[in-house]
Order: sequence, then structure tokens, then C-alpha cells
Amino acid sequence: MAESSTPLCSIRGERPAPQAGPALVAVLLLAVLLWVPWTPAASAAGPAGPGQPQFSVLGKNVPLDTAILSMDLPESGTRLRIGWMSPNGDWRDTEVFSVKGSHLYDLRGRPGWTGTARLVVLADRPGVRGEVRPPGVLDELRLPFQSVPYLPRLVNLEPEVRFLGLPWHLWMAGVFLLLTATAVALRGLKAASWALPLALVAVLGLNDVRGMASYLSMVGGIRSNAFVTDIQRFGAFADGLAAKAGNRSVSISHLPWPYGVHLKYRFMETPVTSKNKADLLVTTRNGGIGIVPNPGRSK
Amino acid sequence: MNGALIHILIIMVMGWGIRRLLPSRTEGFDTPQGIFRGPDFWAEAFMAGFFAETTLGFLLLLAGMGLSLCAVVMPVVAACAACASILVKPVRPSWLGTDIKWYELLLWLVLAFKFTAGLYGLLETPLIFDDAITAWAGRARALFGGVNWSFNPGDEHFLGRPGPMDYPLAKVVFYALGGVYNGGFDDALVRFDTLVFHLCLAGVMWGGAGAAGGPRWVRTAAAFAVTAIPFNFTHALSGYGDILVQAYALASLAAILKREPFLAGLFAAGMVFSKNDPLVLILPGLVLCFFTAWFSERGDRPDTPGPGGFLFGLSLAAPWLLFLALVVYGRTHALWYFSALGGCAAVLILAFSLRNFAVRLWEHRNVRLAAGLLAVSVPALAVTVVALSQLHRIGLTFHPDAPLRLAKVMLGGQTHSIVWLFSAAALATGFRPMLRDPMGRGVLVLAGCTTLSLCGLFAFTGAYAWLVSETTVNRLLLQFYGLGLLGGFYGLGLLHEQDAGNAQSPA
Repeated sequence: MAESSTPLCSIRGERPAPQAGPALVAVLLLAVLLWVPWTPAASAAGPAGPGQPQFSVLGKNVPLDTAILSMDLPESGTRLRIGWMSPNGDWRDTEVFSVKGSHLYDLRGRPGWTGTARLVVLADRPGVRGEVRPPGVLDELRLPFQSVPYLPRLVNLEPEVRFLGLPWHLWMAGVFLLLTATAVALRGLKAASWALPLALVAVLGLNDVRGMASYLSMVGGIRSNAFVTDIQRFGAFADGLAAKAGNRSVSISHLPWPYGVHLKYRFMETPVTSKNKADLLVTTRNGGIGIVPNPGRSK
Repeated sequence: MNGALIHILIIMVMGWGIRRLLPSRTEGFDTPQGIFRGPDFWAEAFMAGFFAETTLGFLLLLAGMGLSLCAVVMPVVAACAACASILVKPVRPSWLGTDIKWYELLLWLVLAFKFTAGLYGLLETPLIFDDAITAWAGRARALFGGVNWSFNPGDEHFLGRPGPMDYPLAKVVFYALGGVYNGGFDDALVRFDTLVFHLCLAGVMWGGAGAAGGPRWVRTAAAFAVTAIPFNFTHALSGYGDILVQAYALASLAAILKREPFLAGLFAAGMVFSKNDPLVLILPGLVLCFFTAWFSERGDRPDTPGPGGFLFGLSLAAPWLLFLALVVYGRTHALWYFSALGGCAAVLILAFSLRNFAVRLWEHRNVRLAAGLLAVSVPALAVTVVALSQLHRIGLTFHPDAPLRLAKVMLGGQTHSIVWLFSAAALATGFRPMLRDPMGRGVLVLAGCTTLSLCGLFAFTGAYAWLVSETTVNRLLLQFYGLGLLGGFYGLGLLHEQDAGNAQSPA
């Protein structure tokens, strides 16, 4: 059997893609899958083309120690790089994940986020509205309750939250110890038997209110999370591929994480076998991802 | 989601029957045979049902039965267990028990809200977590599909392949059966169990924290605290196995404290069937905790339940552990493992002899005890097998800075610092009464043993990399939350009792 040059379906839809489609799909897919490290020097060098700067300026000559970052972005869950230039011209940078809409990003405590910055920029995202400024009282109250991006790393580590510039867990520990110490100071050491549980409930209760508010906000904004919507779209696409395979055996080519994992997951109900035995190949060849008859099957 | 609810109902009926049939010394809400017992009863019922269903499912599948037929067998078994329990112990409904305090009602409301919010999250969020996709849901999907699954270790699809082969099959069987009841595999469905186990944490903590005595609000506080740890709620929606380990370990310790040895052994077996880590990290501590408590108590109270029940309960993990030793790791190494097992058993028997145990073995009632002694070989075998295989996989290296790094991870971040701060403070405060109490001594031994096993894991093996990256270490620590909190609350409960005793004693 001759090798087919056109995938039976593509990531953008159920119908076969037009001639230019696979290349476009590949570029889009790779753009999502690959992270191209940003270099401050490159961005600071200025526009890539006439009138097209590669970055958004977020602040000039701002003291960083007490400053937070406010940005208005159209989607959640994309990796952003914030760069800043110290008075002596050195560049530092750090990474944040975007959250849709007006959101405060607390970078206080991050390495290098200190002193006065001559320039603060958001790399690779021109035209974003944002500023670096000292937080007001309402900002400080808003910071712990904000949404966090829904990302795989959540399962390994709770995102760090800050309040009045200090990590939230230090506040929790401080309040816990203060309540307990006060009870012990007033009623003696025996008071610890009721003061410790009460302090724990008080601190965890407060944190629970914060956490649930943040969680509900995160779930509410899940459709604006670029990573999640991409996974969902890819999952639906992979479901379509699996349905097309039917009961025929397939061989799956490798895709970068997490798409490869999801592709295999969707095909777990389809006979998956080695390439030389498979009826069909799920392949990224020819510039797109699709399912094609196995040319080596008849040999 | 209807399928998930039906599945939970089947497990609840099965667990309700099994739990009522089990010998039990304590009852919730002082209603010995009512339908609505304490929350610990319902949590234990679900967890016993989950373990029974998945173990039975594993055995039936291993025997060659189809998944669909297994799905038919389960409701029948559940109905039989429920009917048998009703015949043995007639049901006398007592509804909500004697009295409910306002703070208990508040706890129920909070839990109901969290469960609803969790359901909303399950339905809205996609499955993006790595282990959940590959090791748990992925393998379950293979079992459900029936085409990429094999029990033959030589097959390319052995146990669905993705993920470590020594991950037990409890969740895999549960998800696959859930897929049958649901009429299709569903991404929300495959995380539903962790949400229910999150509720179970509150139930078993409620029971365990009451074991030492003390006011009722303290046990309510304990139940709230364990569900309010933020990382626990994240894992309630993750589809990972760590929260199951935490729940089973907590239930086992709670049962030890409530002097229910069979339940303690059963839940320890459930823990072993939930994930691979606790075999090495938690089980040795739990076994030592039980025996410390038993040896300490039997001098004062001759009617103390013996270790036969505990070991018999624990031996219910045997199907998976034998499968692990003989099939997953292969027969070629089995003889070596059994030699190591013989060594472990010899050490245990020597330890028992030191406490005049061998004499009592032959003098006393204990056919169960003899069976239990044999059953101790199961955890010994398992610990040996898993420890050796893990060491082979992750390698032996020495990292002297591991304990300090571990302390920094435990106390220095948003993820769980408050848990360890409370546990350390509570254990320190209740240390003296715990030293005088048999169960308290057991808890202290458990705390020491688990601390040593954690430090040892990171200090002497390649698992140090997990500590440096601050990823897997947090999930491992999550497995200990329940134990840490319950240990602390038990010490505080003893302190309460001591103060109450001092207040009542004549001057």
C-alpha cells in the first residue's frame, strides 16, 4: 500500500485540512508546545520590525521592594517573562503564569526584585496594559483571594500567596503562635490543650475561606486558561482520532508532553501495538497530526 | 456522573454491611445499632467497601472473569453483605443520634459546601495531572477497554504498562468498574473517589480524635482541620493515590486508638493496596505502633484485644502483595525475597519471645494469633520486596543535608507548614501524658518511626532528587497529614483528660 501524503484529519477539525493547513497546524502546535527562552538583551534591543516592539513596558524608574505588578491579559495559564533593568544596566527576569483579566502579580521576595529598576518589561507580549506600583490597602486585601492558574504543578505544590509583602504561611504560623502564646500566658501551660486546637481551627478556617474563594475563581475562569483550553481542544481532537480508528490497531508516534500523554490516554480503549503490526499510524508526519494507513502493514 | 453515584452507592451498601458485621467496640453518637451512626462509621464503611470491592475485583479479574461480569457480581455481593448484617444485627434506626451540637452541624454544612464545590470543579476542570493520566486513569482505561491490558508479565500491555508496575490496582479496578456502571469512561469520574476520600478524612479523624476523650468540640475541630488543609483539597480533585493513603493510614491509626485491631489491620491493608510508598514509609510504623500499644496495655488490661485481629486484617493485602512479589517482580527473585522474609520473621519471633509472647502463644486462646504470626510474613515480605525494588530503581546514595532540607520543606512553605507546626506543638505539649498512656506510647513510636523512614529515604537514596525539586516530596508528606494531626490531637485529648481528672480528684 502506498503511503498517504494527507492526514485523514487534523487538529483544527474533522475534515481533511487544505494543502496549507498541515504546515500551519504544525507551526501553531509547535508554538504552543515549545517555549522559546526570552533573552533580555534581545528584547531590550528594541522592535523586531517597523513599529512592532517585542515587549510591553510596565514601568520606568520604579522602586521594586514594595512594588507589585498589575496586568490586564486576555487569557490564563500562559507562561510570561517579566524583565527589569537595574540602574547599572544589568537585566534580571522572572516568570509568572498569566491570569485572565485585571490581575495583581506579587513579585516581592523574588530574587533580584529589589532596588530601583530603570525599566520593567513584559517580554514577547506587545500591547499589554500593565504597571508596576506600590499596592494600596485594597490591593493587599485582594492579593490572597485572587485566582491561581490551573496547572499541573498544583498537584505538587501549593502556589505561594503573599499578604502585605510577607508569605501567607508566615502569617498563618504567626497568628497560630500568637493565639496559643496569648492563651498560655493568660491561663498557664494547661491552656495549650484547648488553645492549640482553637488556634489551628482559626488559622485553617481563615485560610480555607481564602483558598475556596481562590479555587472557585480559578474554576470559574477555567475556559480562559490557555493551557487548559489547549488540552481540552487536543483531547476532543484525540477522541475524534480514536473514534476514526475504531477497532483497528494503531501505533502512536511521540508528541511532546503533555500532548503525548493525552494522546496515549485517549487511545487506551483502542488496540495499540508496535508500528510493524499496526493497521493505522497516528503520526505527526507531513506537517500535521493525523491517522494514516500503515504503509508497512502489507509487507 | 450517574454511574459514579451508582458505584458509590454499591460501595456504601457493601461497606455498610461489612462494617456492621465486623467486631466493633466503639460506636458513633452513642447509637449502637442505628442507621445514622457517627461520621466515623460511615467513613469506615465506605473505605472498607472500597477495599473489599477493589480486592474482590482484582481477584476475579485475575481469575479470568470479565470486567462486565465483575460489575454484576459487585451489587450482588453488596446486597448479600447488607442482608447478612441485618440478619445478624437487626437495624434499629436512630437517625441523627442523641444530640448534635451547633459546631457539628456547622462542620456538616462546611463539608457539604466543599463537596458541592469539588463536584463543580470535577465537572469543569480537565484531567491534566500526570500520574492521574498515566498510572491511574490511563491503566484503568486500558482495563476498561480490554485491549491494552494483560496480567501476563511478558506481555507488552502488562497491567496497561504506563506508570510504575508496583502501583497497586485499587484505583485502577475502581475506575474501570466505574466506567462500566457509567456506560463509558469519563474524565470527571476518574477523580470522584479522591473527593469522597476527602470527606472520609473528616469522618475517621472525628472518631480517632475522640478516642483519648476530651470535649466534643475538639474532635469536631480535628475533623475540620484535616479537610481544611489546602493541599488536601487540591488532591481531592486530582485523581492521585496519595489522599487514599492518607485516609487509610489515618483510619488505621484511629482504629488502633479505638482498640479495634481488626479494623486497624484492614485499613492498613487498604493503604497497602492504594499506593506503593506506604509499604516502606508508613506500614512499619503502624505495625510497631500497634504492638507497642498492645504490649504496654495488656499488663493492665488482660481483656485487651490481641494482635491476631490486626494481623488477620493486614493479611487481606496478601493477594496484591503476593502478585507483586511473584508476578510483577518475577519468580527469579522470589526465592531471595522469601529468604529475606524468613529473616524478618525470625527477628519478629525473637522480639515476641523477649516479652514472653511465645509462652502465651501456646497457653492461650489464640488460634487467631498463630494465624496472625503467619500473616506477619505478608507485610515483612512486602516491605522487603518493595524496599529492594525501590532501592534498585532509585539507587543508594548518601545525602547528609537531607534532614535539614526536609525540615525546610515541611516548615518553610505554603503547602503544609501549619500542619507540622501544630503537630510538633501538640506532641510536645502532650508528651508526658502520652508517655504514661499505652496508646500514647504507640503514637510516639509511630511518630519516631515515620520520621526516621522519611529522613532515611531522602538521606540514603536517589529520592533525594524529589526533595531538591520540591515536587514529589510534598505528595509524600501529604500521606502523613492525618497521622500528624491525629497524633497531636490524641496528645491534647490526654491532656484534657488529665486536667479533668486532677480537677475531680479530692484535694
